[in-house]
Amino acid sequence: MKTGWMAGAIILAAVTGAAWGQPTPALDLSSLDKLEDKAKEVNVVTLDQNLLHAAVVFLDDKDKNQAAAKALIGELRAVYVRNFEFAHKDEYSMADIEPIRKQVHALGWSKIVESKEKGDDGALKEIDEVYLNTGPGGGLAIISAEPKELSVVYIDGVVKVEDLKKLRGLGVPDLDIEGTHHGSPDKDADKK
Amino acid sequence: MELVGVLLDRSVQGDASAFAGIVRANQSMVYSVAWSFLRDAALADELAQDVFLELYRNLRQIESGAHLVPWLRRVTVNRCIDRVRKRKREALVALDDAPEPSTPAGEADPFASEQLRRMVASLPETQRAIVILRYQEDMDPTEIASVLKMPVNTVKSKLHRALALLRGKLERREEKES
Amino acid sequence: MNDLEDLLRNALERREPPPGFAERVMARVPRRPPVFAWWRQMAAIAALLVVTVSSAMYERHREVERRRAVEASHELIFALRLTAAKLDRVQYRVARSSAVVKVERDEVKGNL
Repeated sequence: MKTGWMAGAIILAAVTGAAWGQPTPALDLSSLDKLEDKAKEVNVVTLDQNLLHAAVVFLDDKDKNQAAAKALIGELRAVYVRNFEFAHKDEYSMADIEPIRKQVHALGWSKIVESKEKGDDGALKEIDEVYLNTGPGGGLAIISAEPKELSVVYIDGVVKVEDLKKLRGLGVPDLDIEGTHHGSPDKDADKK
Repeated sequence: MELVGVLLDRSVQGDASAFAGIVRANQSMVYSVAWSFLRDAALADELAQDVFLELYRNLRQIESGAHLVPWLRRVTVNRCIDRVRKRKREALVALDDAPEPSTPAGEADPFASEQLRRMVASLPETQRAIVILRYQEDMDPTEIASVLKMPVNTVKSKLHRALALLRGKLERREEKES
Repeated sequence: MNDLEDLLRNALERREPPPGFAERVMARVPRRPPVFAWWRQMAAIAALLVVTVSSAMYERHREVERRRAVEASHELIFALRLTAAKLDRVQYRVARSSAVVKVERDEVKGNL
């Protein structure tokens, strides 16, 4: 009989809860959590390895875009998103994303694309940065700061930029890394 | 973690992608234990694959997600121990007799961790398994005892013995360097 | 003892297998048709006969897990769509500024 096992499994599941042996993510996005109170809409995605692999099972193989996503997810360890929409401008500042940018720079990730726009006062008002960790651990980070929307995406694991193209149906464009790197010169760019 | 139960259910029902998800979620753990034990990437890869194939053949025995990881650890460690014992040509040198890792005199040793890993890999199989489960997998002696199917006190005494051996080895190496 | 234990924890890190490990495993997995899990029915009936409450709790727990996995799949699609949208945005902005730079250069060269 599995009676004892059932009770034991339920108790163990309730007690253990936390994932066994999940690696610590390289980027910590928790500094952005304070913006939740200011935003009119917040989207938080935290998919660790177990959730990611469970989620993939429910992607539709018959949908070629979701099937491509399934293949892309194969080697990934986690996906994290913080997306905030604000009712008005200036409800967050560039200083709020500085902790994330500092982490990425400290890790030595390569900034593969960057776009900045300054306001009339010379201060940064919009910034879009894409970072890639070309080291063994992999990783992709996107920081997109618009006047009324802030998005940070962190994908933990080996992400090949060409694989992103397979998600064309989900809206991923051709990402021509070489020759389109404009904006302020970054001495850390192309650190490979 | 109990979401693994969903993957297990679907794997039993024949969903290959669900089983692949189980593999991906646990491959690092299984491979790492095998690698630390065998110190051979190709062998570790092959052994880790065999562990998951055994899992596939025995999916119905896995009662829940909480049961899966201990099962994987037990099978991995047992296969590692069997592989080492079957490897007749392997030089299972008693730790005390093992040659000191060579270190240029007066030079800082940047490979201390690597040398420690080698020392661990030269321990007798059971002690090796206990050290790996304790310090790589962060398991306590009770959990290790469950995986290795031995009394807790036996685990503790073997762990104590292994640490004493490793410490002696490290001290001798430091004396040589100084 | 603690120093050695710390050294061991640092030295014995987990590592990923070589790329494509899961694919290698799946290539060796024999394909089989979906199996009707008859044993689960027997286990549920046996459990119901002995401990009805435990069985009901177990099924509810599994359903919660399944719903969480479905919810996670929706979150995953959202995350990928957002990634795509932001990549699209940065590419557009870079292309736009590139076009502006080109126009300015052409003006300087007197090509316009």
